[in-house]
Amino acid sequence: MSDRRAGDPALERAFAARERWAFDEAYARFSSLLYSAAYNVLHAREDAEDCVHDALLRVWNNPSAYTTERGTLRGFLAVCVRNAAISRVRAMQTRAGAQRRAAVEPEAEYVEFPDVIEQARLRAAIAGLPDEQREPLLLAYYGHKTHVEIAEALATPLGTIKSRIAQAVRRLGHAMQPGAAV
Amino acid sequence: MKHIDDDAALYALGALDESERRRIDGHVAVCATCAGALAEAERAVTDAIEADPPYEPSPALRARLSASLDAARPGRAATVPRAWLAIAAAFAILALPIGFLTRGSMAPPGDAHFADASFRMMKPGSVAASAHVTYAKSGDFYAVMVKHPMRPLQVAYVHPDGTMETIGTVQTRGDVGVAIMPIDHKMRELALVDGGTVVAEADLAFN
Repeated sequence: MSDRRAGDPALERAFAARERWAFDEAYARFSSLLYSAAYNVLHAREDAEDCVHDALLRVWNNPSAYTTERGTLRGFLAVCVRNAAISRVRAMQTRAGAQRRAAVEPEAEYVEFPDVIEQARLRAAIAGLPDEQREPLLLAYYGHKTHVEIAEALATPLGTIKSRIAQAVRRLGHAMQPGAAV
Repeated sequence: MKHIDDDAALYALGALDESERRRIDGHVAVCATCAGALAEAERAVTDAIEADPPYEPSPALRARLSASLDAARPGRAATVPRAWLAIAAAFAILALPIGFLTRGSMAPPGDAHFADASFRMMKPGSVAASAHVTYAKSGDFYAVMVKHPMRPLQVAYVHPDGTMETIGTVQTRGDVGVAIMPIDHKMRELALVDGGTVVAEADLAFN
């Protein structure tokens, strides 16, 4: 059985060369993934569709944005859309926060993590992380915090936070590999 | 040049700001080692995204993307606002007069609130077969329809002194192009513009 996570060199070369069929094929393969990446951050259908639309056009209209050396198209586009969604959230928070900060106490830095980790492998992978790696990972992945904000929230030096997040992502990557134990 | 090291994971997670991401984009474009590290981090995060329950976009997103790509010239961004696309699709598919759509099925098309004018094509057949504009005399909008557009076209006001002010872009769906624009001020001349050159003009008659 083919692994959907593996790259498709022919598609990736054509996308990098901006052949229109490649855009259509990439959308057919990854639209659910890309929309989910945006929706999981924005939690609003129209905002998520706007985000996917704008991010894909930005990539397509910038010939140097994606090259085959950059990795799989799947991972590149998913992270591109997710980053665009997080930028939107931060922009909205900045606008809303400017008014709110003057009137109320600062919010707790920790965010609530609703029961969104429904897939067993991901849940097990995150649960298996040491506390000092899991906390900053969750603040980044579900809380959409920057590494600077996470370092402040956890009162930990920035370099330490960066290192712990990198270790957490590596462990997460290994755990999510096909065939890895749940 | 400094390698990105742990920043690959931060990039893939979305934990960097935009200026930091641009710095990394520039670096991985010239460093295969770091490009590989970033690709690995992106794979891990993408696997995590896929592990959560999936959501499906509406079919309209694909149509909107296609329209934006069709309207864009290579190397230049062009986007189609969602609401305009929906209206444009209605015109392109149903080809109904503006008045009929906006005033309900009981109102006759072309009533006193709306007017139509044809564009005079400078070189008929060179950029489009024909073009027409329907506009609200009350001052709500212009709707330009272009039949068989061959290239992306812009719509512009022509001011009395001859200067032009671009107010919209014709979005193409199949062999029909549509542009719908709010009226900021009533101008008696509209133009279709192709790369800065006027290719058609229309005279409008407001009451």
